[in-house]
Amino acid sequence: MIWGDTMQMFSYLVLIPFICFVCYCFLLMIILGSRRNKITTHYAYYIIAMIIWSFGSFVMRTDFYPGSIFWNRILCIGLISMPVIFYHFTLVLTETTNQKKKLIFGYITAGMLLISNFSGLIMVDGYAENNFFYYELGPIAIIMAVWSLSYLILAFINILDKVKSNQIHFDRVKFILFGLVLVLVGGLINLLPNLGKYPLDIIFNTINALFIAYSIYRYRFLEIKLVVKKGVTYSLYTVMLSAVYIFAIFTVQQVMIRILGFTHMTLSFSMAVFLALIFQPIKNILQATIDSIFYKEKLTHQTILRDFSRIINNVLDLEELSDSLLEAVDRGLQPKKTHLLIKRGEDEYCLFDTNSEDKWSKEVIYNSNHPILQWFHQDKTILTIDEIETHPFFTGLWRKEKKQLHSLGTELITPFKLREQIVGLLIITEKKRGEAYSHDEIDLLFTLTNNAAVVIENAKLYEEAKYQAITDGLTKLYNHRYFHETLRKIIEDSVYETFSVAMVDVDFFKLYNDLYGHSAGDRALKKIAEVLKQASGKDDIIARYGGEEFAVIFPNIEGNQSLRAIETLRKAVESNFYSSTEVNEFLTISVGVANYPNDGKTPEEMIDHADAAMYVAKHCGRNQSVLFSKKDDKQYNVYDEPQLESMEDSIKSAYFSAIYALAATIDAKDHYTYGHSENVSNYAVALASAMGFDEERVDIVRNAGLLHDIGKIGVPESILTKKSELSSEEYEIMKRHVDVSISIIKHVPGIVKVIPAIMSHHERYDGKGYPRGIKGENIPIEGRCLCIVDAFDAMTTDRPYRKALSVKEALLELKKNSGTQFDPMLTETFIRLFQEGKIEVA
Amino acid sequence: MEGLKVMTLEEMLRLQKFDKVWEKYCGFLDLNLQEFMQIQERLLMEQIELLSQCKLGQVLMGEDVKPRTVKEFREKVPLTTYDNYAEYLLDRNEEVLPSKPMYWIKTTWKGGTHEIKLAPYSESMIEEHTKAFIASLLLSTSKKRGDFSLRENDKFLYGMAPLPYLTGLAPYGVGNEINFEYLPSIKEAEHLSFENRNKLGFELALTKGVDLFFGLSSVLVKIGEEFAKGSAGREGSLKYLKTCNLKMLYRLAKAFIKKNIRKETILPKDLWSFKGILCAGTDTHAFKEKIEYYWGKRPIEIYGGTEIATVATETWGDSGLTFFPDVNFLEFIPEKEALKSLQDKDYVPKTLLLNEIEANKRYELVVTKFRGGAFVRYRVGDVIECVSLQNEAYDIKLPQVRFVDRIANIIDLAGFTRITVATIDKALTLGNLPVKDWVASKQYDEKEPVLHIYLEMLEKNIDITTVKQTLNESLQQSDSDYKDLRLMLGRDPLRVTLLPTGTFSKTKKKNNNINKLNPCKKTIESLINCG
Repeated sequence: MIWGDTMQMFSYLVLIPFICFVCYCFLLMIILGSRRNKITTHYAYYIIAMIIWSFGSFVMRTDFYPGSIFWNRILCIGLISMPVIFYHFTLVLTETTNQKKKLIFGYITAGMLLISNFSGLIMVDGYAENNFFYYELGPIAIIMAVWSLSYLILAFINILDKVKSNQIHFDRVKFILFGLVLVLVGGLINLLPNLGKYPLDIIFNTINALFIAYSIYRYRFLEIKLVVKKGVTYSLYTVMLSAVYIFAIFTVQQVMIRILGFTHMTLSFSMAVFLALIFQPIKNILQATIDSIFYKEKLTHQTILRDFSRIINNVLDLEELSDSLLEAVDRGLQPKKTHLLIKRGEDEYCLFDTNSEDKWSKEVIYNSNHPILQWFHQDKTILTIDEIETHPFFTGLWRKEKKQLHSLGTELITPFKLREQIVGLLIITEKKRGEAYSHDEIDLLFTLTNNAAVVIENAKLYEEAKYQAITDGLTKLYNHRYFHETLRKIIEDSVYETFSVAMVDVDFFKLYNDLYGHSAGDRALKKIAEVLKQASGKDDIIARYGGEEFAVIFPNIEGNQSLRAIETLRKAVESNFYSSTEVNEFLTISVGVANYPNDGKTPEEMIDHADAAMYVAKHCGRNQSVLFSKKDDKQYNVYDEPQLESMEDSIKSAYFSAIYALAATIDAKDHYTYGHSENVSNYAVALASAMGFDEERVDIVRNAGLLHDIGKIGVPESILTKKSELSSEEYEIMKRHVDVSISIIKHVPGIVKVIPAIMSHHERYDGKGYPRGIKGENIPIEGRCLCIVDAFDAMTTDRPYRKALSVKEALLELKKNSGTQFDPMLTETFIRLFQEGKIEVA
Repeated sequence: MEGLKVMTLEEMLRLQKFDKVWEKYCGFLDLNLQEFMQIQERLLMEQIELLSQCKLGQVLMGEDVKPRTVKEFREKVPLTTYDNYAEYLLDRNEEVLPSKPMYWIKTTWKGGTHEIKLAPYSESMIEEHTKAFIASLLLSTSKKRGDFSLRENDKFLYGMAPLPYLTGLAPYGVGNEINFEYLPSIKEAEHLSFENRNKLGFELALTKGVDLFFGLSSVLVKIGEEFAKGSAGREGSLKYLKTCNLKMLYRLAKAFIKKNIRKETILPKDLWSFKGILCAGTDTHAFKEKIEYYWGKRPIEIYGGTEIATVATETWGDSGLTFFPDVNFLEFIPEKEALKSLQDKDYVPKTLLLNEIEANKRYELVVTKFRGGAFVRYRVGDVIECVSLQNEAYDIKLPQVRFVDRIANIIDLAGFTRITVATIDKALTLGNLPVKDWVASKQYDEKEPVLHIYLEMLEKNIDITTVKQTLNESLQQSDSDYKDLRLMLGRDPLRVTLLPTGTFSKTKKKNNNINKLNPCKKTIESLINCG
């Protein structure tokens, strides 16, 4: 073999189109191996045109059979078809549909040019010498050149237009535009015969093809499988290395020929081995360069994971953990934004945002039956917004939920799973630069979420424990301990220059508990807590101080402002309970408030003084707000018990006069029962005294007797005075008088204590009474007393529907119903009182 | 929608994401019954949430009533009819609705207290309606799962009424998803009568070709019949040649040879090759075979209504229609219960859910509109039959249904008109006919729906032809839709039978109650055999 010939065959003029040809073949393989769509198909056509061009160019320069001019004509097939195919590709890429005519014209002209090509109108003749191609252009050549350039310019303008009108982002097409400029320059060079003999155009076209491949991959013009990236880089790497290696061998050979005048097979072989050896470092440098270009991310990912692992091992605070996780995701994947949904409670996944005021979102909350959660329960690891939009599994999403996902910018969702349990979800938006997430990035994401799952769970447990330690279990307000700690801290650290402390006590709460039971009492406390929370400001600290007492810290207010603040709370409770039409909602609060630093300088002083003001409110008739003043404090302290009692009595008597007037109204309304209330009151007092009730309870029975029928004010006169038996409907209306009585009395703070007696005076000992149907000892004893004396007075007076019974008959009736309607022991006592003459008929 | 842009159908087609297109629009066919019911329940809860925040919801469900389960919803919320909504909807009172309407869709209210019924359509309802309509369109061009030939810029002969009727809504919603070349354009169509619109549509189809059709099945049959008779295309076919595209020129030439040289009858299928035919109308199933014969393509039936939007679509084969899971919450009143409640207005019939219905049984449909619609447990007045509990041949695991008819007190003819007792009474008065009593029934004559009226006259020697002629005229006078039916289809949908004197009194002795409209077969037989 003569080396000179070989060298001639493979000089750089041949080598360049050959390498380009190999590059194009690789690209075509990749394209054919990826998912097909319109863009890939047209890109493949373009690559095929370029393969024909480069192949023609390469063979043409070797003067291979049947001759250079033949291969030049083959080259021209690629050269002619490329511009219009490329133009078509840009139309598809930019989704342009209004340039069909230009496109069709382009294809027709290309067809005509191809005919001209084989008729020798483009290239009259040509020959290859020393790998240079010398040629004589035909008359159509210039037309073809102008036509080709025009279509390339059209393609350029088309993309530029889309960029200008913001239909396509410059970043996404910048490489394609740069590539196009190179192709145009390459085309123009062909018009200069001196430069045209070099294969510059094809070099530029190859660079363009690579740019496009990169754009397509990077900016998601098509879904090239992510493995392809590795394929592309390794292929390029191999091609580049081989080219450099071969080039080096031939260069060295040429130098040797020049110096020695000849070369030999053995010498060449040894040289190749020697070059291969010294190529190792070059190969390493090349590999490092490729790695730094394409696998830089991978190295960064390792750093990110290392940093994240180090942080999470030392963090238990959910906020800190969330910040670290989001930062790691941001560094590794560079999304525009990341959101975290964390499981909260038994069945709730809630958006957790450390930057917002309420860290736990009230809007974005999913339960475990939510389609997104269900999706991950099926062992899925990732969910894209595309799937949410198209998969029937998500048909049941609420409109509001879809809007939320879109407003969060959702692109991907992935779960944090711990032992098959989902402890949270990570929502990621699209990347800052708009490109697709790579496999490597998704892998990093999975590693991060897997590592984070267990730490999130621990942090959440820690968070819950922390929350429980400072929270009152029933009302979910802060507890007593937290209140003291906070108050101390505020004073010690001088957090606020001024602030107020209020003590809140629920009025008649014991009575409420006795009347409706402890669970109703708990519900009432919860409701009061809720009302207080809603009525207070976001910086106010509300705690359950104990039992039915609450405490509030109002920052940055003093004097009358603090009085206004507690008055707001009082009114809120009043309007929610007291003003309600519900019978059992008669609760109110008494509130006292003290100001820092005027009323006290230590936590104890502040609490004592607020407490003192609250007691003043209680003693002034309850349901009041009182601002502490030193005078009040003294007053409260100087009054002794009897004085206070007389104060209370005078308040009560003011209410009573109104109540008596009402009772009298009832008696006047139903003249048959005239004096009934007073009779019942007197009998009841006698019975209560005989039973050994203390003075307060005798008092209760007295007043209850007077007021027990006050609700009849709401019963139509026609029913009250009906002579015949009441129909069932009328009886139902009649029964309501008990509820009406309570609704009236609950508005009179001083006599609320009579409510249990009045409420139960129609209950029967056997449980068949009304309104609650309670039985036996469960009926308050005051009510059982009233029941007997009320029935006795009714029997011994004339009624619209019957005449009065004699005392004897009435007592007999009481005895007969003892144990069923009436309490046997009380009945016996009452009968005995008559027998002993201790009571007389009124 | 805010934030990210959702890819339109057109964009997906351009990117050749055919699998995604199928998944998005027809993916519901892969659901099993349990998944279908989960979607129903979830969307019902969304609707309850919306209803609880508006006045109409509070009026219909009860103040402070906010059911938390499907069971609670069915227990607490009463069944409704349009009477429950008339006061709010006919005044277009937007304030009381669960969501702001974008369009008010209109229909006639035969037998109601007003001339028309109005139904509000919110933005998301329109989106769902569009999605369902596109699903049916895709199915009409599809031979099997995942395979369809619908494409951008397909030529679409849209033979349905424009806005404010429901059929006119689809092009507006579809326009946001994909571009079609409508024949004639939607804007132009709005100013044309029903007849002219269809006529112009087919004229344009002669020059441009056509890919898709949506219209009344009866219209397609009528055009097919005219072709078969040789009456179509006679006048001035040549005038279209100038504007014809190449494909149509070739087809016209082929048809010309077939007709004039081979002396064979040309049918529409010789001229046009449809990718898909979508049909609506109550009697579509009766026309299917004829349409396939004339047009070379089996139509896909779509079932819906003004108040309820697109409810169900046919798929492949003959197994019936499949319900869309995300348009309405579906309940079904068993036929017996429905009839009982028709006779006793105070009777509250029980309802079943889709997973409770049985094959080969008939039900009256009750719907609650999703996505902020107004109608709650609304008795549509349609009777459907569950044909089977699944379509085994095509692996659809959802009940397959067939639209049977309107409930017994309305006779719907070919989707053109709805005849009520009042319509016939009015016609009898207008015609001044001495009628003692009558009943009317919808029957099928050679697979075509007809209105059969059985009359007992006061005078003996009155002749049937006169009665029929008078009735036909007065029905046309009293009901313009009936007139359209005769004009458009050129068919006589009326059959009359005169019964001997005394027939009704004798029959009534045996049966206390005779329904004036659609009495049962037995009653009709006893009326006929009575004399």
